Amino acid sequence: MNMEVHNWGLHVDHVNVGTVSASSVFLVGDNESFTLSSFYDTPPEAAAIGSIVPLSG
Amino acid sequence: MQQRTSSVHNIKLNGLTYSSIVNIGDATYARTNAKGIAVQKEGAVFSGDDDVQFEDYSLFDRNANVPAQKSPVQKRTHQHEETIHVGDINVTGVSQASIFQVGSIHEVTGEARIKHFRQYLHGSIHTNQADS
Repeated sequence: MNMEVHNWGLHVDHVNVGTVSASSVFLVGDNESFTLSSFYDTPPEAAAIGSIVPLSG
Repeated sequence: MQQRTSSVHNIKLNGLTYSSIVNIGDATYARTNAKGIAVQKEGAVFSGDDDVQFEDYSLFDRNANVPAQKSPVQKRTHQHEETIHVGDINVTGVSQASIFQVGSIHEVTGEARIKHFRQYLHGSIHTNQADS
């Protein structure tokens, strides 16, 4: 498969970013490839009520 | 591919943490890696019993689902203007194996693994969160 890209003028006035987090990229420039992976486990699913000391394994 | 020049007038960055990168200028390759366990506890009194280890949780040793091969797409890029112009950039934080770069970079590989816990003083459910 072939793809042709034309990058014409790019002028940006203002960029406001909260957080770039967990294997993310904020790039002002050119790039060939990104390989980014993120695992994220968070409450309430991961809520540990009581002991979090592993009981098995 | 011909790489453009990046021109940024003003950058304001508040925080840079946990295996993250801020780079001004071109680069060829970057690889970032970060893993973390965050324990939030009601009462916020911590002791040795709060010790948690990466190896107790499968999230930290399972394989990442990265593409097995490069894309078969053949790309031709035409740069009609040699500079990317940006005025102001305001970033609150760059964290956990992330990258903020002004300039071109050929290839980036990054991986982050984060696990959060919350512990409450009183709860009717007693769960064992260890999964490996």
